[in-house]
Amino acid sequence: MSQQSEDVRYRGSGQPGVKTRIYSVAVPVVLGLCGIALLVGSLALGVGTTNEPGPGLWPFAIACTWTLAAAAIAWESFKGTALPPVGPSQRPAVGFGLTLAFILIFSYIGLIPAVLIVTSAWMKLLSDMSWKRIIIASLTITALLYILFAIIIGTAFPASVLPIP
Amino acid sequence: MNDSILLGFSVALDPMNLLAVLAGCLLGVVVGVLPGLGPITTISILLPFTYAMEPTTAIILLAGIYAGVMYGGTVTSVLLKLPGEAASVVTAIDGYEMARKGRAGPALGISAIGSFIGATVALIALTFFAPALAELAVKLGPPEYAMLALLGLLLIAYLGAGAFAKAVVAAAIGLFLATVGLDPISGDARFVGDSLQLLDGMDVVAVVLGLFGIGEVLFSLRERDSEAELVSKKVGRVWPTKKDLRDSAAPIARGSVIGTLVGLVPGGGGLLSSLLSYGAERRFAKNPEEFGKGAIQGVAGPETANNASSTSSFIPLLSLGIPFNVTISLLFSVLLINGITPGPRLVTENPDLFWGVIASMYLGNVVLLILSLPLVGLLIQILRVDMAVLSPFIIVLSLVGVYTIDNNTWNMWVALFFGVVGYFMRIWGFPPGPLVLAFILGGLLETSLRQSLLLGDEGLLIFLQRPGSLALIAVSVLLIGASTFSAVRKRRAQTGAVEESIHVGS
Repeated sequence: MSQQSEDVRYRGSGQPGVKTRIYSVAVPVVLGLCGIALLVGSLALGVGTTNEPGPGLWPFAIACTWTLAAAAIAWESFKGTALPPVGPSQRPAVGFGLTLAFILIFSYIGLIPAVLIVTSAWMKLLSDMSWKRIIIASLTITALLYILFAIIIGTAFPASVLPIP
Repeated sequence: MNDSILLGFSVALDPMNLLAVLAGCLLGVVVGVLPGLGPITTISILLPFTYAMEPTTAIILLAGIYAGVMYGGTVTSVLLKLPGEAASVVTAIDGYEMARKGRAGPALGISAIGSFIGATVALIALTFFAPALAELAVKLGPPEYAMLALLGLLLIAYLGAGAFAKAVVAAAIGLFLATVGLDPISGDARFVGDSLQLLDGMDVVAVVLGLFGIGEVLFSLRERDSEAELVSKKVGRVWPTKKDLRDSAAPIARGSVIGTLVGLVPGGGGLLSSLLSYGAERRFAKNPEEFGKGAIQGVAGPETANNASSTSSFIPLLSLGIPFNVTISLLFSVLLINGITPGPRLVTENPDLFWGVIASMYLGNVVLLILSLPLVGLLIQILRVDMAVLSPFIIVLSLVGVYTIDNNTWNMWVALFFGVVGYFMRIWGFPPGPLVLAFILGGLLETSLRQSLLLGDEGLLIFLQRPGSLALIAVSVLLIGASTFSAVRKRRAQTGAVEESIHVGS
């Protein structure tokens, strides 16, 4: 379903509540504030003139477009077009946490433990797979990545606490 | 022309390039079948691996993947009603109904035949039209290039799914990201703070993999994996009957023309071409009521059109040096990374690359036709791959791939950041495509704009003094006007409907 029709669906389901309306206006307002921050930053760089453009001229033009478009979305939201709700976020939060953990383990411990731990935890926490299938799948993924990156490409991995990457 | 085509085939038949065609097509078909891995994610995952390849081989591999994904996406559309990539959404309507009636084989067969014909027509256009357009494009100066890139971005925002203002914000974010780092003209550092890494700007692979790879996986976690119903594990006879071929001949012919033309339009891409083709077929059909109930014309036309458009979208890349869709923009960045500037001079300065890529696309098209039909049974087995296994695999593969760009964990953090950005963009309906395209086109756009301003003494008037840029401005103004007018009209219609319902209710 396209976003436009999704937005219309929200409109069609009656006027959004106060909380939804605040949230729907807050998102584009924050975006607009980012645009204004960029505007200030580009002015600080120096916009120059149209004959002698400075390094800030192009970012200034981008910031104006950004801010105006964000204002248009905020106005639409204020008039009643609600943004889709954030919805269920527990599983995506777990996914985000595991992705973050992967980068940390990869950086400080090594490739193999990072892939093994994160893929196993991902499958355990985010699916109904049995331990047997999880172990087979995570060992296969780890072996594939090790062969691809460490053996075939010969990637220089970060200093690892383990003798192998 | 004959010598050029022969040169192209001599390059394409080089063993490494031939292997790249085969590997690209096969990988593309497999990936096209897998949900959650579209052409953009796959190509961005593979980009770091192509850095060590010859640029011609790299582009041939990626072009093969792009074509293969277009073929593969059809299989899930027909058998599961789950499009493997966006352009196959339309095929799912009648393709799935055909499969329910036990005609999955002919649906897949006619898709493969239509795709082959559509891509061949577009390739012929590419062979003859791209060099001519490149000759014309040599005469374009920075003002025309700036306006062309700007019009391209506007059209992508305008034609894409979703609200225009949201697409404009996304494009503005992409343009801003392209300014981070050293100013291309004065050399001043912009928006880098104290970060040394940001001085070099952000890496396109990290941004794209974050937005499309990680962002898509995180977004897909919002719902537990739902079991889609596989209509049949046995596809049966794939070759369509004589009647099927007769019914599909005109839709394939129309789809070839529609797709080839739509691929030339910025933001056109596969989905728009298949939608237009589906609409045209319904209009031309003797029994339009059959559409949605398993009409083979509803499969043949759109499938032909989406493959024709993905092939013809190479024309603006190879002749103008401006990518008009996200996947093509990734190929554009591969050329740039290898020190090759795509554009009108490509045909004269790198004829082996220009003609080699075109010839390899002819080969890839034949490979896909030969392989895709017998492979259908194997592809059905791939459908059994669990998303619970695929999701962490995409995440770790993307992150380690991003690390290999410069053997530094910085880009992994950038990818994670953009993964979160992509997640929220999907929730709130901000399309990530314009962001990526604007990010990739940003450098070209800014340099052309500033060069134009430095060229003339009258500032912005230079864009109005040259007929080419003036015409492009006129088209842009018309587009913005049309978009505003249609939004106002829609709002009025909705307000009217609400008032009417209140009136009836009271």
